[in-house]
Amino acid sequence: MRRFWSMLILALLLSCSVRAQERENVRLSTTWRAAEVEGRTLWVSEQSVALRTDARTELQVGWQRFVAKGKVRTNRFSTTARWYGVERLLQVEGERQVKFSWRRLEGGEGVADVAEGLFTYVAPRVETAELVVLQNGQGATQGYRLSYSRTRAGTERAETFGLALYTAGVSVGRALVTLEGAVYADRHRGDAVYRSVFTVEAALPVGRNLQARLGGAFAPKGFPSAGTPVEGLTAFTVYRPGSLVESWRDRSAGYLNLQVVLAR
Amino acid sequence: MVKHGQALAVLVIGWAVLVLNGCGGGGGGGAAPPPSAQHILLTNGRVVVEQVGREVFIQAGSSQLPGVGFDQDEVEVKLYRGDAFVNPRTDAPSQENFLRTFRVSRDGTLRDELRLPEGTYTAVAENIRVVQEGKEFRSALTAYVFQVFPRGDRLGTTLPKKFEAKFPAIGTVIEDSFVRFLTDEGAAGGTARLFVQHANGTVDMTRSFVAQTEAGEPVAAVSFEALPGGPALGNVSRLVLKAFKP
Repeated sequence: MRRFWSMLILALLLSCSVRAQERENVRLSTTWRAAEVEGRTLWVSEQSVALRTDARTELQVGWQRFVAKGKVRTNRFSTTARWYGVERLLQVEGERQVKFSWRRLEGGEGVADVAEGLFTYVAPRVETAELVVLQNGQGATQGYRLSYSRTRAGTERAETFGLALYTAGVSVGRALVTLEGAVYADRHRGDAVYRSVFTVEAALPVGRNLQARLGGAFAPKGFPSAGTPVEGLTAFTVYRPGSLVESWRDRSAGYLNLQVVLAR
Repeated sequence: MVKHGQALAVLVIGWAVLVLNGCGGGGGGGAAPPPSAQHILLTNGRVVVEQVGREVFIQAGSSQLPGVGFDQDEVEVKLYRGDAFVNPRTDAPSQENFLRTFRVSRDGTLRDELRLPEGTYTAVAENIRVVQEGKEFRSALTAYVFQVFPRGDRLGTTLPKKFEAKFPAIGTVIEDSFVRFLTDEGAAGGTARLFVQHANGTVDMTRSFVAQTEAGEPVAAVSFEALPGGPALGNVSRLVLKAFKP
């Protein structure tokens, strides 16, 4: 049954891509993220495709791979994830825009290969709905984003609520800088924990249709279980799987990212 | 416009209500602690073996396999020839290798005697349920793979002479758990493997038997200790314990 839905989604994406290519509305991107927390490292690679099917709608699909290594370098946690989503422009009123997006991440089984043995964790599923309100001002765009994520992993359930404020359009040389501050409320087993995440990104044109985005994210109290670009890893924290993954939730953590975007 | 405004209002109100509801649980000290003292403790497991001719004889009534207390009056255990779980994640015992069925009573005592010549065996119990002071453990398939092997002029086994375990009840975080057992000294240097497949994942640990002395008697010992941290134990679909001589 899952294969049927995957094939159906793939077929839809392919047909949409044909339409999108005719209109030159395809965006391909590849992203690398790297981080270190107390000697534990994290590597993330991600490939994604976005297809604008009409003036208001964009379909997105992506694949991720995570490898977290422990202080003992032979200890590692690895997993993969694929995600797909849709973004719809609901309203344009003067300089104000309202967007709605929905995204589903289907994680792969998490594998912890450590000295004590081989431990696996059932794949998590994360669904996220977001409402984004943008206001274009004098040379800059400001806005806020409300998000709700539901994480299901084995017998565990968690919810994450997010509120983010951001501003885009601050120019530093040729680069366009975006700043974002967000607070998340993680609910798991009846308890709520608040975590803030700060991100900065500079977008730099590097060629015709090609853009490089350099950035970073910092979470003073660790990342929430869902709602961020590393949710494919942090969703496993609902299992309390030990230091290799829990460091990213319980400690001050951050990552650097480099994204290359090809848009035509 | 009105619809979008309403959608925004609903999302904002919902967000605020849910976040405020969460305030009672504490605002930033880490996740909820797992339930504690939810483990099932087993200390009385033992298999008493004698040698009769070129066979190992396990007398009914004197052995407890593996020292658990079942909620069923009688548990049927099927015995197969060979290692039925070379790949413990996927393999299933073959009827071609089926040898016999023996019974284990509610307190884990062996009801039927067994005579086993040299070889590798797999004992399989299905749908066992262990209850201890309101704590519950269920396993759809539980298997013990062991060997009967020649050691000089006698036969040794990798059956547990003494068995103890502390394992989580369903829903309890797996940490602070262990499985330990002693077996014939001839197993020293051999390997033991514990594989558990449950609703939240799998545990797969391999350990070596080490030689030690227990009450003046040389034995081979092995211990599986859980890592700190979860996940919580979900319903167990497979629990396979394997013990092999070198």
